[in-house]
Amino acid sequence: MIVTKEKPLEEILGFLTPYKKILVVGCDGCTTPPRGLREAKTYSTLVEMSGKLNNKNFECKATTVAKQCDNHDCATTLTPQIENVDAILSLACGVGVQTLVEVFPEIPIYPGQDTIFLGSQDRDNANMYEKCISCGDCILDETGGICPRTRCPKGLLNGPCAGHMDGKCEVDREKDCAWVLIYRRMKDTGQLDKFRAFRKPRNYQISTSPQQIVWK
Amino acid sequence: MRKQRRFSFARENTQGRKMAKQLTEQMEPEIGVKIDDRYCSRCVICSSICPFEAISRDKETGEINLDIEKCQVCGICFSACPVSAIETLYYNVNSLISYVEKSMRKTGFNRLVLTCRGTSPLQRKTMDELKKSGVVDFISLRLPCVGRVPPEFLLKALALGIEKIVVIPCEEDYCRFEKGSMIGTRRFLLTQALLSQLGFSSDTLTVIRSLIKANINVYRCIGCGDCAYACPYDAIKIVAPGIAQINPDKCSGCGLCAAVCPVLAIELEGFEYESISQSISNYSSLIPEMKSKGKTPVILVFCCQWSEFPTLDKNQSLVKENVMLLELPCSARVDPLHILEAFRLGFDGVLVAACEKSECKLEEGNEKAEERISSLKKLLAQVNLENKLEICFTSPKYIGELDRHIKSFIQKISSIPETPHGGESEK
Repeated sequence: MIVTKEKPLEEILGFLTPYKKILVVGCDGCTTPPRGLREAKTYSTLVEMSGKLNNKNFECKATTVAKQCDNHDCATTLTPQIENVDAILSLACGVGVQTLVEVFPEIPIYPGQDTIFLGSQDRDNANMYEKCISCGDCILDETGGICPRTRCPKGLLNGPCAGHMDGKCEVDREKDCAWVLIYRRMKDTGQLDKFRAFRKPRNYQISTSPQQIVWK
Repeated sequence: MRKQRRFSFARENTQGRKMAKQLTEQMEPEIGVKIDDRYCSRCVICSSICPFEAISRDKETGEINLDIEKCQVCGICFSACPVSAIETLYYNVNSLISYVEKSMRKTGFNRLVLTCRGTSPLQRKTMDELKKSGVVDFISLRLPCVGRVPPEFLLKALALGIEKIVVIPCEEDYCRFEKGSMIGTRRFLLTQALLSQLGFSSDTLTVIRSLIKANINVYRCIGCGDCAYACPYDAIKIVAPGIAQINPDKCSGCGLCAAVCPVLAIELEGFEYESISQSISNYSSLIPEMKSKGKTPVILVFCCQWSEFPTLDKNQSLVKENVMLLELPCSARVDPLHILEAFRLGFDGVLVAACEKSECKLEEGNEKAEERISSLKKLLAQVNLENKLEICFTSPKYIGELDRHIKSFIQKISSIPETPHGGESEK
C-alpha cells in the first residue's frame, strides 16, 4: 500500500491561513496508516484548535472518499459537500490530491500528508518498509522475490557489493543487505544457478515519467 | 446487629459524603472491603469462593486474612459470608435498601431491575424482553457485579413492597469478576425456590442474561484489518476483501475495536460514537457557567467502569462542579477523537481513569489505552496541549483514589497557563 506521513500541523496551517471553511477529505483506499474518517476528524479538530490558538476561526468539516485516486468516486461523493468550501485539505497520497485538483479545478486543494513509498506493513513492530519503486520492469522472478532495485541503496542488479558485513548494508548498518537476503532465499529454494546468472542493465526508457496506460 | 456503615451510595446520603471526604483526606487509603475478626466464624467459605484467591486462612491462628493487593472488590465474599463478618463500604445491604426505598417513594414504581455494569446500558434486545414481561416502569439498580447481592437484600426489597425483581447479570463466561455472574445466578435461583415455597409467584424474581457487544457496519468497513489485529479476544476476522466480521461468541464488549477503527464502522452497544460525543457536548455546555463562577480548570474524566465504584452509580449527573465524569465500559474504548473533541469544546484538561496495570477486567484494555494516549500526546504537542491530557491508574479498592488523582491532576493543570484552544467560536 501507499505509505504516507502526516505533515506537521504548522506547515498545514501555513497554507490554510487565507481560508475559513475547510473540507478535510480522508481516503479509505490504500493509504497507510488508514486515513479514513477518523483521521479526517482528527485533523479537522486539530486545525480548528490551532486556528483558535492563533486567533483564527477555521470551520472544518470532515469527510472521506472510498478512493481518492478515482475521479468518478471523488466527483460523486464530494460534489454535494463542496458548497461554500474555501479550500480542501486532502489526507490521501499525492495521487489523491492531484485527482481532486482535476475534479474540482475551482477549489484550492492542499496536501495534508507527505507520500513516502510503496510499502508493506509489519504490525507487531509497528513499522512500514519500502518494498517497491514501481520501476515498470519487474525482476522479482530472477531475484527470489526480493527487489534489489528498492532494497539495495545502490540499486545493484548484480550484487552484493563488497560493502556488506554480517548480512548488513554498508550504507545503513541497521538494514539488511538485500543481496545477502536474495542469496539466502535462492539457496533455500535451490535456485543458486539463477543467482549466478548475469543480469543485464535496467532499461530506463520504459519508465520515463509520466507514464500512462490505456486501461480498457 | 453488626455496625453497618452507610456510604455515599444514595444521592441524599450527605453523612456518607462527609465520611468519604474525611476518608479521602486521610493519609492511609481506606480499603473497600474488610473482614471483621470479631464476627468471623472461620468457615472459610469466603476463601473458597474468592475468584482472585485474595482471602486465605492463617494455618496457625486460623484467622482469615484478606490480601488487598489481590482483591478486586467484587464483593462476592461479602454476599457469601453467612455471619456478615465481611464489611464492604460500597453497596452494603443498608445502602442498597435505602436507595430502593427512596426511589420507590420518589417514583412510585414497584419493579426493580438489577443490572451488572457489563450488561448496562441495556441492550435493545434486553429492553424488549423486559417489556414483554411487563416491566416498563422500573427502579434501576446498577452494580459492578450482581454476585455481590446477598439474598437478604432481595427479601428485604420484597418486604418493602417491590413486586417484581428482574436481575440482568452478564453471560457467565464473560463475567468481569470470573465467578460473579455464576455465583449470583445460582443464588438467585435458590432465592427463587425459597420464594415459591413462601407462596410468591414464580415470576417474582427472574434472570435475563445479556452482555454488551460490538457491532460492525459492513457498508463502512474498508477491511484494513486494524480491528482484527487489535482485538484481544481474537473475535474479529477479515472474512472477505473489505469486510470484517465480529464473532459475538468471542466478543467481550471492551470496545477497543471501536476506538481503533479508522472509518468509525464499529460501534459498541450503549457506547456509540455519537452518543458519547453527545454527552461530551452536553457537558461542555456547562463550561461557560463554571468559568463565570470562577471554577476552573474544567476537566473531563473518561472513567473506566471498573476503576471506580460508588461515584458512577449515584444515579445522578456525574458532574461535580468543574469535574465531569464520562463512563466507559473499559479504558480501551477511550477514543482519541473524543478527547480531541473535548479539548475543542473548551475543556481545560482531560483525564483518563483506567484500572491498575494487572487489574484490567478486559484483556489489557488499560495498556492499550495508555499506548493510544501517548501517541495522541504527540499530536497534541503541536497545539501545546500535551500536558493537559493524562492517564491515571486507579482501583476501587482504595476509597477515594480517583478523587485523589483528579485533585493532583487539577493542581497540575492549574499551574499551566490557560490557552484559548477551544470553546464556542464567534460566528
